Formats: sequence, structure tokens, C-alpha cells
Amino acid sequence: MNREESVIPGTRTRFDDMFCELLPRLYRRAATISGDRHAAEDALHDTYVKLAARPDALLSHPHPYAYAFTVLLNTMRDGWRHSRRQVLSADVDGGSWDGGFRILEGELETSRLMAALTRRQAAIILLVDVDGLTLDQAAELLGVHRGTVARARGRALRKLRAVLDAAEADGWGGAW
Amino acid sequence: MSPRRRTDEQVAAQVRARIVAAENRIPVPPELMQRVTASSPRPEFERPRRRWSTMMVAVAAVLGLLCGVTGAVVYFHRDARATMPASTDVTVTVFNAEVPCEPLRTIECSLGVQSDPHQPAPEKVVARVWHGDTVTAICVVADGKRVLDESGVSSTRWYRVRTANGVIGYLPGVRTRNSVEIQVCPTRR
Repeated sequence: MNREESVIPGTRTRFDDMFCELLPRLYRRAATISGDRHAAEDALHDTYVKLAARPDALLSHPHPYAYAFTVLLNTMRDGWRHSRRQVLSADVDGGSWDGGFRILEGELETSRLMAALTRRQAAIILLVDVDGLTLDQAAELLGVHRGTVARARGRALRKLRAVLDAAEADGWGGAW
Repeated sequence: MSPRRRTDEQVAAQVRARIVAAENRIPVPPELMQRVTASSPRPEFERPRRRWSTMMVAVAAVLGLLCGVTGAVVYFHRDARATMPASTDVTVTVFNAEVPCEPLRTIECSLGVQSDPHQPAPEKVVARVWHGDTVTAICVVADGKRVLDESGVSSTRWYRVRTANGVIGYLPGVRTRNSVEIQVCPTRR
């Protein structure tokens, strides 16, 4: 049975209100990670569908944004898996970034940073170092042990340090 | 290389500053919520067959104008093609978001079914479909030609479809609306 059929209207309204509130932040985060705003919208749509199937899970979560973000990240990860199977390189290299809008250097640089990390490492850095969650909270959200989060974060920071050093040497990202 | 080694906390602080700055520069598109949620399986989209609701699918399609394909799963069956895992054909009803076009079966109000999702062109239209037509979505191509709709939203997804007349071609999609996964078309080589 479709779970949505059992969702009472009030719940759906509250869910939509909460998702609407989270949406700008999720969108920016998705665009930052993917480097593609259209891909971000696609991912957000899929995230909405997934979350809407169990609205109470979001509504009752102590960290709704973090919960929604982990779903978003999983959605994007699934998309990347598909993309790898479908050889999306033409899309990436085709000069169609953002549908022709001006490239934002900040997004590019951030995408370069994120590209250096595994998806899990990226999630941990974003949750812990950007969003301010504790290692325990991130571990719970990602469904892994705290030690795993701590080790992954350590490796991620080493990679990021190397990227920052290289960026500094190459002269891009002058604001570092 | 860096003249001095950054500590983990310094690296984290720099990354945080960069990400926050980048994210703050990203404008949120107007009507993002409507676009993201417009295709969700809402009650009004469930009219075709409630007992098939878990397989409901909706696909938004564009061809110059914003159009959509509202999902209405009629059936699915196992496909024996060995190269595809658990294939499903999903029958959908074409939905044209341009309300004035819905009752019209004119060329202007049609969606062209293309023969090549990678290089679509007017001369490559192999069939036309209109609002209310049913087509069978066979699979999806994710790396097709990027198609823009009138609001600037684009997608590279194209759906390989079979029309009621048996013609097979591709319809462009903007952000899949499917709650059921449509299988990926074999990569062309």
C-alpha cells in the first residue's frame, strides 16, 4: 500500500511547511556538493518524495535539517551511481554548467573541495564542521559508529589540507 | 606548498568559511518549492488506479514549453532482456501543463517524440503525442541533450517511450516525477 494514503492532511501540511523551511538550505547545500543547480533540483525532488513517504520521521526528528540532508546525500549518491553507469562525462564537460548561467567561482572551488572526498567523508565534514553537529549526532544520522566518523573526518581533513595547499600553490581561491 | 602546516581545526575553519560563503552566494530559485513538490504523488494524481498507487509515476516533459507527464501506472511486467536488471515498462498518461493546450490536438500543442535523445532536432521527430495520450516508458537516458523549459529549468533525462501506435522514441524529462524507478537504457556505444 502507498503510505501516503494513510497520511492525515494535517501531517502533510506540517511536513510541507517544514520542508519548505528547510528547502533553501538544502538547495544551496545540494548545489554546492553537486556543482550543478539542476542536479540539485532533481535531487531535492527525489528527496522530497522519499521524505514524504514517511512525513512523521522528519517531523519528529530532533534535527530535521540534518535528517533531511542525509536523505538528500543518499539520493545524490544513488544518482551518482546511476550517472557512473550512464557515462555522464559528456554532460559534465559540455559547457552547460548551470544551464548557461554564470559560473560561480565559489561553487566551483567548493565543488573541488568536495570532489576530493568520498561521499561519507563529505557528509561528515558538512555535518560536523559546517553544520556543527557532534560526532555522535553525525554517527547516528549516518548509521555508523562514532569511531568511524572520527576516522573518516580525520582522513577527510588530511585530504582537504592537501587541496588547500595545492590551491594556494596554484593561486586559485585567493581567499584561502 | 604551504609555508606552515595547518592544524585540523584550521583546515576545518577554512573549509567551513569557504562553504558557507559559497552557499550564501547561491540564489534560491523562485517557486523552488512548487517545482520540487509539484510532482509528488498527491491525491489528485492518484485517480487512475488506487490499487496501483505504489507504482505511480509522473514524468514532467518539455519540448520548448513546459509540459508534464502525469504518472498513471497501468501495468508492468518483467522484461527478459538479459542486459537489464528487473526491467519494468511503465505506462504513463501525457499531461500538458499548458492548460489551453490540453483539449487541442494541434501541432503547436503536441510533444514531439524524438529519435535521438542526444541530438534532437525537428526533423528527428518520429511521432507526436498530446495531452491525455498514453505512452509506455521503457527506460530512461540520463545523458541526453539538455533541454530547457520556459522557466529556465533543464534536464538531460530523456525517456524512451512507445506510443500507442507502436512508435518508439524519446521524450525529454525535467526532474523525474517518478516514485517508481524506471530502468536505465543501455549505454549507447
